[in-house]
Amino acid sequence: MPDIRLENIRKTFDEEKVVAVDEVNLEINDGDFVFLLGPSGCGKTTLLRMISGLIAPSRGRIIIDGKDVTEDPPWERGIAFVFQNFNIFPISVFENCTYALNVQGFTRDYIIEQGERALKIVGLDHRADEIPVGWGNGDLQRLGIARAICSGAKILIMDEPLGSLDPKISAEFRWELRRIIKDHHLTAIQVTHNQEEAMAIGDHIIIMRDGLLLQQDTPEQLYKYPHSLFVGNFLGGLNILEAYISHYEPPNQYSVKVRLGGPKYTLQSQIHKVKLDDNVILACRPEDIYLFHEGYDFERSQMNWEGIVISEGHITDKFLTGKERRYIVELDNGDPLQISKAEVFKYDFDVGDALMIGIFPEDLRIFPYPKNLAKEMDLQ
Amino acid sequence: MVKIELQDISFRREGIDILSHVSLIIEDTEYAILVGPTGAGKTSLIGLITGLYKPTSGKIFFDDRDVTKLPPNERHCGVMFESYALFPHLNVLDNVSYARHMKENDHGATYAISREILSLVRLSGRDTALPHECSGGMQQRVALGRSIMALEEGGVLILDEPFKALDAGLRLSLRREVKKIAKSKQLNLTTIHVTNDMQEAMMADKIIMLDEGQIRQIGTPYEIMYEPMDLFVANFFSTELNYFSGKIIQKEAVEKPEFRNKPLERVVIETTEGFFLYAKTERVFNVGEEVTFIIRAQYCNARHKRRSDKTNAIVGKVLRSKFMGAWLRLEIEAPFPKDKTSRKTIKIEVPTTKTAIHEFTVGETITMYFPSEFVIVFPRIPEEVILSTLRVN
Repeated sequence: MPDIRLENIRKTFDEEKVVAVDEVNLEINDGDFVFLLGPSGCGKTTLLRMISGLIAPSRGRIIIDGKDVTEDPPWERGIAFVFQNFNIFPISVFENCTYALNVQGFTRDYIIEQGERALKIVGLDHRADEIPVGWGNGDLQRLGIARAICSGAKILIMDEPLGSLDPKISAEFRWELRRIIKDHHLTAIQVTHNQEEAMAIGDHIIIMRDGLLLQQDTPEQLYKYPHSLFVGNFLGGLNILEAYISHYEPPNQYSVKVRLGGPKYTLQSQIHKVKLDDNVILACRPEDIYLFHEGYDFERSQMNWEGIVISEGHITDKFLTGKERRYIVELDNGDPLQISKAEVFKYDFDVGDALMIGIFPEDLRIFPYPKNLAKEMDLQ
Repeated sequence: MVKIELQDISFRREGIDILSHVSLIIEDTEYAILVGPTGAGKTSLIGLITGLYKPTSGKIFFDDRDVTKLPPNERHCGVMFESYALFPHLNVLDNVSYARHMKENDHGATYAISREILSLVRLSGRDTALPHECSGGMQQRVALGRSIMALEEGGVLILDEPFKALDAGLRLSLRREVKKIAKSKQLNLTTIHVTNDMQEAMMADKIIMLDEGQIRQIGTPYEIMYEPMDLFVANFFSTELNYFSGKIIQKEAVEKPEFRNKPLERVVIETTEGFFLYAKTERVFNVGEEVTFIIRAQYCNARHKRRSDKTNAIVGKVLRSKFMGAWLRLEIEAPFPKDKTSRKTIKIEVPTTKTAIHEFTVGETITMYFPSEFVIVFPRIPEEVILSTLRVN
């Protein structure tokens, strides 16, 4: 089955002056839906092109299904493409779908069988004879996917396949895309600049920056345990607090004091690069911060708030997203925090309200203070 | 600082009706968001307001002044495009100053104004940076500064899909910042912001929803979310929704909540599957009336225990579960109360925070609660209309 393995892949341009991809090692399992993410210029498109055989790596090996394909042309790798701009021809849906098989000279029966199968998968079987002119972008991409499946390839390479769709349409279409990939045991690699999409439908996400692979993990692991501030912030936004290590108990118990009279948190962390008195960043997701009216009775609450650390502040801004309320809170020491609460959450707060802010220490992540904090937090 | 009024605007181009009978008012200093799917006519409407196009019929007023026949340069609209269109060879200061340099000789005075604008868009001290040295967010602010420069004689700030090319995280923080700048005391602009993103639209003072050249609904984010005019609007402003058909079996008046304009009625609906749900609605229904109602995936509280006795609760089994970051998406299979062998699949999204989540694993039985103020009721919509409205094409 088509596992994909990259070994020490490096790609340089312009006589080694530009390193587009730097010593990347990765494994993609058969049947996985993998996303490749990173800021523009991170090397994700170059990596995709090397996997598909459109360009050759400067160094390293590409192994698909146990076979070294580094030197093989694209058509011998069992890969099909889905494009952002569809690349649909003004010929019938069926002819579009079976175009590659026709060119390769398969028998008529085989072509019909494969074409019908592929169109059925995407729900276009009843429109096989239409010319797809004036179609909506969703249907055009269904056809794009059918054409890729029709080739018999077991690996799909998709470059922003939902990028041309309205946000609303793309947010629904992605579930259909995932269902197709899963139901038909395809292995898929997708590039996107929509982190939400990758989090929603990916089995694994690979984050790249400056040609380096920073982290490959499940969405949940990446979201909860990012290896760096950049990765954490890139996937959905982090609140950060400047702090220092005020107490350390080996092997992994830290007390961290937030600067300017902020609260102190004691937590376990596997971080090895920091020691007593070091400057660090404490990071926390907007949804992991809890808000309480002044005078909230923690004892009588139905929830278990044991261990939560409370500090005080007030709301400086508030806005809606249709799904959640976002509050900007300024802590009494001046630190701003962004906090999100589901709109079905029964308590609401207004700008100017003084309140208590609670954070469970285990929801905080400690990072060594980066050389360039602005760069780590820049989403570009 | 301008009030904009469109009176019965229609616009035909190359024999095609692009806009039909569009009337709207954007108040002075209002932040209006023009939203709709691709091809709705948003860009044409902007072209008519800026003076790039002339309407086939109808009138446009800026502060009670008829501007329908005025050329673009007499309307003073500052437009910011998706692509920013910055001059690559000019630094930040010169990019902002460019338009005024072209018509005014006193470059010193222009630079002074530009520096003020740069401080408003938080770019003070970055005068000499070239566009390629700026991050995406900075480029965006330069483009915004340049559009504001065009407004010195009082005009309209127009943002045409300003964040389309940006990553989700950056979009969220920038849109807040842009609105803050437009609404700042020094500027107090009237803004029209064009987008096809529902989340972005939620920050508006007023949302103008356009589809196929016609106004579908104008309202505050609350009105659009809680009392959408029809299924199309409701669907556009949902990530995913569930629909049910049923009939009103009981109704009563309830207190008017603060943010609603009209009094509400509380109705009890029995669905064709046999579920009973309460809804609070501005629309008036009669007992016995056939209705269709929707529940958006994100407006659900879910609990572990089986508690079907509770109001607006539906019990079901987790069929699929997908972690999405702050949210967990679940597909729940709920047996019909009337006929236990039939099942309805309901899609919900629940927050992943400690207090909300209890590891909803596949196969587990859970109870979903749908708060009655989030249940939206319409007069009965035929199944085929629902399917064609909801179909992704």
